[in-house]
Amino acid sequence: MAIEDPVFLLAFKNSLLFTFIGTTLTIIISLMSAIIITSRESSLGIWVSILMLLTWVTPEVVTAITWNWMLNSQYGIINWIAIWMGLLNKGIPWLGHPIYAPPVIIFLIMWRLIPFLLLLFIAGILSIPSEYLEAAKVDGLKFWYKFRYILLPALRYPIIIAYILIFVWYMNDLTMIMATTGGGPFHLTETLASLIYKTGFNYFKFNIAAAMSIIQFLILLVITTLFLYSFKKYWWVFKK
Amino acid sequence: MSYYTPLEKILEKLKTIGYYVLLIILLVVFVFPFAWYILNSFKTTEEANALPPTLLIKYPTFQSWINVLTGHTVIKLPTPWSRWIINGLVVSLITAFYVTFATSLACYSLTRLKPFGGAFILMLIMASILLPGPAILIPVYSIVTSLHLLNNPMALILLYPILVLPLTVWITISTFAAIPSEIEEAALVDGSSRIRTFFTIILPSLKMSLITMFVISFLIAWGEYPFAYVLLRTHEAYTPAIGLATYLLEFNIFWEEVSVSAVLVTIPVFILFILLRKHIIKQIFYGVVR
Repeated sequence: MAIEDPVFLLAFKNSLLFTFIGTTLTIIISLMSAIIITSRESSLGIWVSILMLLTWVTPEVVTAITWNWMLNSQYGIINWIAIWMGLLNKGIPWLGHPIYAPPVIIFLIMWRLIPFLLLLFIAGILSIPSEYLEAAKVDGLKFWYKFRYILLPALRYPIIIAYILIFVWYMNDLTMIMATTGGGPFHLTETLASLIYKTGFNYFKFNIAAAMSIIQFLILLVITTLFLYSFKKYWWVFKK
Repeated sequence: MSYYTPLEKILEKLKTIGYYVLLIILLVVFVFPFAWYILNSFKTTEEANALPPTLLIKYPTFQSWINVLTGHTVIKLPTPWSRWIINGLVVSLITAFYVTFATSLACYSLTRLKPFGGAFILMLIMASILLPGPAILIPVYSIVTSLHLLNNPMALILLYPILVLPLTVWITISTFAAIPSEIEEAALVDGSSRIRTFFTIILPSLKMSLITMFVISFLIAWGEYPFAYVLLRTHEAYTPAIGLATYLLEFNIFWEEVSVSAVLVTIPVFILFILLRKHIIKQIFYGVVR
């Protein structure tokens, strides 16, 4: 029985927790960066965000392997930079450490999705009619009011779409986990996706893996329903 | 120009500093890994394995590039690297052509012919954006096994369009809907058939959307990992993404050669993306933000 398996329960919990934390942080970070980048006229910020989109464009396995290498406890460049700056005495095995591995995994999947969202939000902010923003400037509107009454309403639709899409991409992400921690120390970074993969193709228990995929499918079904509801805007295509 | 109090001047300065600090942080966090493996591909074996690692290259060399490109790597690969690249190119190009064609047909018929239940069909397509992933790994595996296509890149050609098509439909359908229908009606009145109108009038006016679809489906097919890894288990059948992963896991001492291979896997994608960045970004975000 898959349900009674402690590893399955851990994976189930991790899947939901990682996805929820990761999605929320991704949205907040990219929204804030987008607002700061568009607050200046210069196109430098937009160029930086286009360059950042390379994280989304590059094959995921390449980036996963690069991170795996950079986070290694002995020859990883991140540890050496931290030592050189005096932050650490000794390299930390980031991906094998029970405390650090889960946050690192959350960060790595976020790292891949933030640039995509950042450009989405920048495009959203740039499509706001400039009269609104100019009027806000002339009136000397405080940042919070500008955010609450101009930016947020204009970005409502992209935020909903992004939240659901990122949620699903996050939950379905298998490559990053397989190529870095592989489920991690004591299954602490195991998610449903990686557990399904392992049960099916490492232990060859197809029936149990299939049962797990149905559970994941049910979670996604709820999200899908929300997603479809937010696609109402496409109905105009048929209304002419 | 305007009347700022000293406090406001300082605040303004702080804002400018904050803006540049943010840009630098973003650049370091998001672009550094790419810079790191590109740098490493020009190091010697000793330097790439040196402790502590060197940030800047002391003895730049093209040796590992020559080794990898001529197939004389330090540890012999089971299959030449070029074989994997060819596999990957065949799979991704066929997927890209097929997806571009099928998506434009689907978008055209859904937005113009308005079939009965079209909204429902469109919703089903959209819903399947969410399906790809580990949940269908096992059904796909058993289907491919029963078709006797295991260890054959052809299996991927059958599979990838299914994974990519929903995304491309989502991105492009609003462009199709936005073509004024008068143009098409004029052609139809003049006696051009629907199919001819589609190929000679609709498709050429959507050139940029077609290119975007092509590039996106190429990107996804080129870098896809879990399905390819499950369906291809022999070295001859590998695509570059799995080849690279296996290469790294088996010979992870020769970092400079691994870096070269990583650069090789990334190059086609980099080139396509850099050449077409404006159109791709405009298209993706036009489709999504609107």
